[in-house]
Amino acid sequence: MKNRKSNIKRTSAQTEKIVVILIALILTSFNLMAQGYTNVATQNVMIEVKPIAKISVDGSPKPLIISENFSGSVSDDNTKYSLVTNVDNMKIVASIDNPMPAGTKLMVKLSSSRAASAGLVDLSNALTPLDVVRGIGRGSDVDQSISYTFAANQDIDEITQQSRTVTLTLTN
Amino acid sequence: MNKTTTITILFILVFLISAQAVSQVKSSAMQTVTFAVIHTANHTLNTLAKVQESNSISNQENTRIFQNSLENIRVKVTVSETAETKSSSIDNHVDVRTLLQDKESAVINEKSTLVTVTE
Repeated sequence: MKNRKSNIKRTSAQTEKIVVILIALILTSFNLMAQGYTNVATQNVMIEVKPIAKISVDGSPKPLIISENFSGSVSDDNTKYSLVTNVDNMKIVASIDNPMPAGTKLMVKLSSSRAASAGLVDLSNALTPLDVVRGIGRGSDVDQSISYTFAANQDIDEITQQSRTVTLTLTN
Repeated sequence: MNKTTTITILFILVFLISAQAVSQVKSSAMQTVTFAVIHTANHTLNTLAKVQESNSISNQENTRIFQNSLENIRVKVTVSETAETKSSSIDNHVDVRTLLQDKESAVINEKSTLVTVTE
């Protein structure tokens, strides 16, 4: 009799433990769900395409030398430029770092398959940029030719070798 | 123009300049262009005809004329008044001996067209 009472008391205690554990598990599950621990995860990704304008040149023009076979001008068209942009109605402007000597001219012509070339543009005093290609739309234009022409008056004095830096800018 | 108006205009200018700076998209590439003008051989002297017209001039005058004519191509010529005709130059060598037929007076004839200017 005493043993039976003891067994019943132990069973009751075990049942209480099981109930407590179950309640704890249920509460934990609710807590986890409340904290968002599910099998789905989300993130926000911000995207943006900035205005793009890139121009590059390939090669260096050969020296433009007017010598004994004086024809008045000499040209070079061995260099090229490429551009890419995602902006409409862009243009290329050109400028020179220092004016050309008196009696001489430096001219440039940029070809374009997608826009209007301004033809041969005199850069001799173009410290302020001048338009050389206009109306460039979105997209790329690759390996377009750059032509430089150096001209001098017939009565010009000898000019030792000099250099000028020509800057081509793709801009809106 | 009162102070408020001035400040308003300044604000508008700053706004416009800022908007322009933000909206401008540009990219640049540079190239170096080298050039020169070189006078070398076989120049024709423009004033030679004038010398031929006079046909007979003194060495001193001849020297002066040729000096003047050669200035345009950066060459200085000195012809001596002695029997031996000499020439010299700074940048180039000029041979004018064929121009002088007489040691005392320069007689310019058809041969005088052979004027060579060499580096």
